[in-house]
This record gives sequence, structure tokens and C-alpha cells, in this order.
Amino acid sequence: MQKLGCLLFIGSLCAYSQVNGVRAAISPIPPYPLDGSFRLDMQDQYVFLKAPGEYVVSYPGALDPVRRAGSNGRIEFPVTFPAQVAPVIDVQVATLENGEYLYSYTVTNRGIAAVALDRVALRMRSIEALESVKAPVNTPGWNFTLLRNAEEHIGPVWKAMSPQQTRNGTVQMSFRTPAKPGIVEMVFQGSPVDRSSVNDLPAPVKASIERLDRGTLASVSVLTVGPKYAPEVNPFAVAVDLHAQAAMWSEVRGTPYTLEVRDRLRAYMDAVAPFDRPVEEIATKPEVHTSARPLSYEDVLLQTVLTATLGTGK
Amino acid sequence: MAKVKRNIVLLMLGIAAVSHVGRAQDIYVQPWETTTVYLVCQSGQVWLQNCNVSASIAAVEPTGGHYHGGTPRYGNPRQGTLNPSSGNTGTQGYVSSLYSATRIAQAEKVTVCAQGGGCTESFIQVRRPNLVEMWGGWAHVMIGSTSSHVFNHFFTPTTRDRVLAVVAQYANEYSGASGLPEPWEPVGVNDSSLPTGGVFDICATVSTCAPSAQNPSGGANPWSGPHQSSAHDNGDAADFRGNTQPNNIINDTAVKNRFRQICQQQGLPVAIHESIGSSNEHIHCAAY
Repeated sequence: MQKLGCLLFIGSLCAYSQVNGVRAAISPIPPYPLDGSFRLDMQDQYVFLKAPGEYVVSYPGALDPVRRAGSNGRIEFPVTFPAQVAPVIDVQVATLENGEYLYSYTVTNRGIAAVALDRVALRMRSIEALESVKAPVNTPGWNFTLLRNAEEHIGPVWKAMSPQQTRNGTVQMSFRTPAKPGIVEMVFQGSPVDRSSVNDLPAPVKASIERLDRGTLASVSVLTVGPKYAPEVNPFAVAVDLHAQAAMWSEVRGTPYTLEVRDRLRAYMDAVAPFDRPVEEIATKPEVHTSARPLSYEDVLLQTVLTATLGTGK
Repeated sequence: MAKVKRNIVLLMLGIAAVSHVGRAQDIYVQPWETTTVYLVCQSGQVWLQNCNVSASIAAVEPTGGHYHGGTPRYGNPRQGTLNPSSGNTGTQGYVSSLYSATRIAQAEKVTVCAQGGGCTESFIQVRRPNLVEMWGGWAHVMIGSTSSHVFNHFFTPTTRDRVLAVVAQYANEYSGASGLPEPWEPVGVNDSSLPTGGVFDICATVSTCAPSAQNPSGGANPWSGPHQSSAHDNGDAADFRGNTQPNNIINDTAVKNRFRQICQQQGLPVAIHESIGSSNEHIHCAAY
């Protein structure tokens, strides 16, 4: 339940442990001052976190001759952002006879989401992988495109044609590619909030909202399995990449499986490359046999890549 | 139709009905960036006044494409800083703190603790966004990957396109050309940037590295140069093989000079012939 809360309150305050009901947290969004006093460091801030997952626009009435200020002399109203979706992913990877992979996803925007799901994209890390995508299939009502431009590169995109229907809906999509499976980010964006009321806000307030719309609160990233590596990728490179991921997960809530995968991959890396050496010289493949069973979502991501890409991990 | 079916229904390896239900979202910043963050104490959905809170930051190894550790010798602190890193939430209910990233792209674990309460662990991800990995092609091969920096071919999309244009023009001009000391080969593209940018410390673990401005004593030098150009931090540079190994630029001075011109014509105006005569000879082409 705690984890679920963290997902919902994207970009706000999340915690994993607490004692006596009190916990600390860090947020990139300024909290709404509890004493109602907007100090100097908040003079240029116009969007606040009123409570976890609750954003509010608040600015001095003097900035806006049109709207009426409240008793605190400020104009305030709630606001939602595209990041306030609550996605759940199911993913399947199948190896095809011709060496390609079939990636299939089911995404559900949970009922606790504040906004409808509007866009689902895989953040591909190479344009070659993006261009290798074949035979995309998607849920009716969604439109598949390949997005690529000089400023942004996020890979296959499924965009809702009628986003309000997808607030609690389920989206299915699949495609084939020779790119090998790795752990990648799936990016979710909620429908743009009605910003018609924002257009006539004072310029600095409008700019503040737009900055968050495009930045911190523009989308939610969730790790999943997707096309990541070149078909000819060296297994050592995959092992090193997975090890880094397992090491990071181990830092905050490593399960026995994640810890064991991390340690076994580390042992393999130390054995085949005790010093810095060219990867092309490394032909030994990793053998990762674990006694622990995968328990968490992250565990299963690791196991899937170990199995599908490296042929080990059972 | 039958053939399509046969090709698709084969080995199911994947995750059946395993769902993601969320986790703390990371905070994203770029190398050298500073940003304000807020430390709070919380009880349920309520924030607390007058609560002592403190935070610490530690680099997570190995992340950011650096598959090595090591203590900084020159240049960069090991991780970013929070200033202040502790305080009392006061009547307003928060402590405002300035986070400053270093030149290193990496994950940094932030541990925030409430006095007499619990701690939160989350990540600040220091990374340059939107870099893309280049794979090999008809006119080029990817080279130079080492066990310390396995993924070394990340570019901005714009520079990636320019590099492709360079190798294509070079191939068009020299593939099948006669009168040269060796035939054209797909050219080796070496270091650009690491997956999330930031300092590319190619001497991280190499004890034989030559002295340089950032590494005056030479030798292993983690978290500093000597890829000193900021273009190597940002995905806006590539080094093309200029020695005598396979997939080199044709070993001829006029050809190498022409290669530099091609870089400049294709939008990579900084084209430098480096380490001439050594095993590391290459042509560095960059957007700046």
C-alpha cells in the first residue's frame, strides 16, 4: 500500500520506512507553507504541494486584477498534471523462430489516477532499435507512432485517440524487433489538463505551470523489459548493465534474489575482467544460478532479461 | 498466414501477469545543475512543523555507465551536495535545500531522516537526458568498449545524424578508390559519451595513462578527464580510429586531412587529429 501511494503521488513525497508514524521525505516541488507564510524563498513559486499528490496554484492577489483573492490575500485553486496517472504494467517477451523478439504489454491506469492516460511510450535507447520495430498491434482507440526528432527521442508511442475513456482503462500493445531485451523505461503521460483557464493567468504563474507540465510533472517513468540491446551485443555488456541495475535496487530494498543476482554477476565480471580490458576480447558468458526465488517486480525484470537475453538465470 | 503463425508462437520467456505497482519516483537533474529541493517530516498524509530533519547523499556504484569505483584524485567530488543538509522544518513545515550536482552522471542515494522518526531512501539521477546509442552500420563499426565503460557510443540525436553523414561521405569518397596505401573499410567509431553523459574518465583504472592537464601525475584517475572536451560529456563528439588497426581511416595524411574536412562540412566543426603516430591515434570530431 505504501508503494502504491508512492506511485500515485508522483513527484511528491515518498517514503519506505517510518518509526512511530513519523518519516522524512524529499520533494522537488515546494510544499505549501503550513503557517500560510510565503517567505522570500517562495516568492517566485506558484505551484505547491498541498498534501501528498495534491497540487495547488497559489499566487498573490496583487498579480491578478481579474480574480478575487481569498482571505489570505492569495488566489488559489487546485491543479493536476500529466504525471498523475497510476499505471500498472504486465509484460511478456517471446523469442521467435527467426531470432526476433515479440514484446507484448498490457497497461492499466488504476482508478486512483487523477488524470486519464493519454500516452504510453517506450524510451528506446537507440534509433536503430526504434527503426527496427515491426508489426505493431494496439488496442482500438489508440494510435501507434514512432516518435523521433532532434530534441526528443522516446521510441514507440501509443497515443489515445479519446483519452477520457482510458482513465481506468486497459491498453494492450505489442510489436516485434530483433533488438534484445533489457530493462528500459516505459513513460506514461496523462491527458493534458484543461489549460484554457491557465491562458489568462498572470505570465509568471502560467510559466510556472507550463514548466512543470513539460518537466518534473510531465510524465511518469516505470521500468519494464523492452528492446534495448543490439542483436550482436556482447553478453558481458548485458551482464554489466544488469549488474548496475541490480546494484542500484539493492541500495534501497534489495530482495534476496536481487542481491544474489548482483553478487553472481559481480563475481562473473571480476573473473573475466579483473582489469580494464576490451569487451570484444571477452567471450565467456555469465552463468547465473540462484537459490533465491524472484519475489518482486524488479526481481522478475532481472530474471526475464537473464533468461531471454543471456540464456541463464534459472 | 500459416508461416506468420509458425514464426510467432514459440518460446514464451516473459513475465506473465507480473505487474508493476509503483515506487518512489526519482529526482532528475543534469551534471553541474543546481536545484532546490525540500525536506519534510510527515505523519500519514500530514506534514509536521518543528521537526528536525537531516539528509545525506552517497554515489551508487556502479551507475552512470561507470563500471568501476575509485576515489577522486583530481577535479570532481564524488557526489553532489545538499546545502543545508539538515534543519528544522519550523512553522512553515519544510527545510529548503540547494542540491548541486557534480560533473559525474550517476545515481545518488539520498537518505532523509526525521529525528525520532524514520528515514526515506530515494535516488537523485544525475544524467543528461535523451542521448541515444549508435549501433554499427554499413559504413562504420563501433569500437573501444572496455569493461570499465562498456557503453561508450551515446550521442545527441543531432550529433548522431552528423556522425552518420560523416562516415557515409567518407565511404562514398574512398570506397573502391585506387592509388591509396590501403583499401577503404567501414570506419571505427570510438568514444562519444557514456549512456547518461557526464565525465568520461577513460583513465579510471588504467595505471599506464599518460600525464595530462587534469591528471598531471598520470596513471589511474577516476572521475576526472582526460576526455576534457565538454562535447564528450554531452554526446556531441566522436573519436574515429586513425591508427593502423583494422577499421582505421585510410592511413594516409591527405585522407586524414580530408576526413577532418568532411567532419567540418557535416556539422562537426571541431576536427582535431590527435595522438598522431600512437596506438591511440584518432580524429576527434565535435560540435564545439
